[in-house]
Amino acid sequence: MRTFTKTLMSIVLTGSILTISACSSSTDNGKSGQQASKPDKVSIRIMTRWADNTPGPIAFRDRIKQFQKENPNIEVLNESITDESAYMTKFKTGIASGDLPAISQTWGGESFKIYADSGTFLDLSGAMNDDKQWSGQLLPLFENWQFKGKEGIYGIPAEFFAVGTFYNKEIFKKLNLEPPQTLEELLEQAPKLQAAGYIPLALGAKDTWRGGHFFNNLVMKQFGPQKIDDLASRKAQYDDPDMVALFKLISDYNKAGVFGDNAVSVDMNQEKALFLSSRSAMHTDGSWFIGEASSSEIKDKIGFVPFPYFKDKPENKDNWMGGGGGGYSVYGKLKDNEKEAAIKLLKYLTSVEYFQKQEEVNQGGVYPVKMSPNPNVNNPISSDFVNAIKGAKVYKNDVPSYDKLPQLLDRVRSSIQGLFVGTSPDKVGKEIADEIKKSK
Amino acid sequence: MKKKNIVIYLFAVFWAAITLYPLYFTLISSVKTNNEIFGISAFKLPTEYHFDYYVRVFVEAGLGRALFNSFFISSMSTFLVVLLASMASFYLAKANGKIPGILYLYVILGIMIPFNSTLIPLVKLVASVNGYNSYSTIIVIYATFHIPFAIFLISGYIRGLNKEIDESALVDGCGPVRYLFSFVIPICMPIISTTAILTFLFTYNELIFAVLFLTKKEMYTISLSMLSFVGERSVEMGPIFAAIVIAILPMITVYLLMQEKVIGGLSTGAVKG
Repeated sequence: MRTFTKTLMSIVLTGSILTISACSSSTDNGKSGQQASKPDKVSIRIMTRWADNTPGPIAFRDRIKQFQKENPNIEVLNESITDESAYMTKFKTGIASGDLPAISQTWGGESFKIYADSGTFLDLSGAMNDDKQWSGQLLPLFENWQFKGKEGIYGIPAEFFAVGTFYNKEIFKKLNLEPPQTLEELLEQAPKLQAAGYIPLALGAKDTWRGGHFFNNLVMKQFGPQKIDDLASRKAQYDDPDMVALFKLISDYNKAGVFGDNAVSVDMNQEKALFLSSRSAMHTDGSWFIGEASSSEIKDKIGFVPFPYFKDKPENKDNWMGGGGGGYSVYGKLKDNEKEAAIKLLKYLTSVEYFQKQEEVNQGGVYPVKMSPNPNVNNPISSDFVNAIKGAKVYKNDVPSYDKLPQLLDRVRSSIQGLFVGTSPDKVGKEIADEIKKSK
Repeated sequence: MKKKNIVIYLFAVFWAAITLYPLYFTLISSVKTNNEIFGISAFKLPTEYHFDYYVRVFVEAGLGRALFNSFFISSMSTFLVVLLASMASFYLAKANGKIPGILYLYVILGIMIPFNSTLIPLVKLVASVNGYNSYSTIIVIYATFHIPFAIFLISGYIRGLNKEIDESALVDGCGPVRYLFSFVIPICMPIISTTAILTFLFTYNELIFAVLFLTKKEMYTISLSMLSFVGERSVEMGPIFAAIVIAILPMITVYLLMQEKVIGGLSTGAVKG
């Protein structure tokens, strides 16, 4: 029994020592187990959220296959995973353990600045200067990956989005109405739509970002982009009377039944189902909805108009919620040959040729490069969309994403959700302002 | 007596309805479109049946391969846990002295470590041994996380066994190895089955480790392959439900098989006092 005890003890101790040393040893962060390969063949990993079987992600995977064919000495491992929380776990674990893929999909914003500061991601402005032919084609949508007091561009946009209103032409025609240009019109039309048995503009407020996006649009149409900067620099506060008035507007719309009887019990999937089954007359969504709308049963009835503006603020009519959506960032601790391969792939995935293919498979849409619409793509919803954004002057993303407090995005969205269950607008403003004060 | 029976039956019917309802919902949703699942008609039978979802889960999501992977990984982890934990429990429960007591505490500490807190060192470890996309890595990780709890369960059970069996085995000249495999393990079948069920179900459903360590499509487990129908801004629920219907079949099979063992084990394990 004693020898048995000794053997067991030694196994346990060796195991623990091995584990501890593996956890604490300062391994070369850039050298991942997966990326080690033959010297002449370089292996890089890419991780995005385009892993499902819709046309866009399929074209994305085909593009990677094509890249491999053209570059036999570069092996690309595609580790994409669509589910948001799974992706974020993988992304954050990768950052913390120093085992991040060569290219990751990122969304930028102020909270991304720490990664830029720590050198986790590469400044791509050098690569952009080296290849003007490629970078010249990109639309200037780098705002999310550029930071005050920090030189450089830390991501290349892979998406371009704008949020507006999809509407059901048939319903509006039946009731002899035009899609609302202004918010006042929206409120005026709501009772007529309700009387005919329709939800004017179903909103899936159960998902906090739905209310958040509605709020972003209101900010852009009421105040314009300057307000967003002021909020971020603390010149303006979330509990200022003008902001509270905005929250009150959402609350009033909700009480008037514009979003349906009980918006907070509806999520995004239900919201879309309500619109696509012609029970909701309108649906505010981004350009990414074009694909789904044009493959739906009611595709011939769907039109697109800009998000309504305030009648007394016509100067803000052309302010949009939108800009660069997801983009690609390159890991900052790659070896030279890996870096070279990663940049090559990055260019391949952000070229005009690639986005033209995306336009073809998605039957339209808008993309973050300078390209003219494909005449062979005949999709009325997409044409409506392209026409609507022609007049756009300014694009801004989520209001709190410009704030240096990373948790503010969640705070604002959750507090706004409160408006749908009866929280007073004052309290919502105060909740957000308190969150900011707390962090000081 | 009769009244009591009626109450029991009513309760049984009520309970059966509660238990079977999710299965019914899964089954009808597996042939419905998103609009029907999320619309008012969530409880109704579908107006059009999409049996093609069952084909799509195999073609698009590679569910066949994923089923094999999940089944293989879960069975191997379960086997490893049962084998190692029963041997370790036997020693820890039977040996006298301070060291086994300290070792037992050391092992049991493992139960208290939430696995999320180990993700970062684990990723470093796996990366340093080139262990991505390998069956052995994921099996060892799953097994390691379950061994402490398995030891806790099995050693507790062994401690509760009658000492007379030890004595009679010793008197008959039975060595520790034979004693473990011929006497202790058969007697412990109920608790070993419980451990095996728990380990199997956990590993079969697990997602986080799979997301981190299995990145090639041919290594995907069921939970990962189901994510093929989750889009960045839209979800196709029909095929996901179809995949769930297929995925729960082996689980139900394992559960039913093991459940019989539990009952069988209970009767063989009975020691007359």
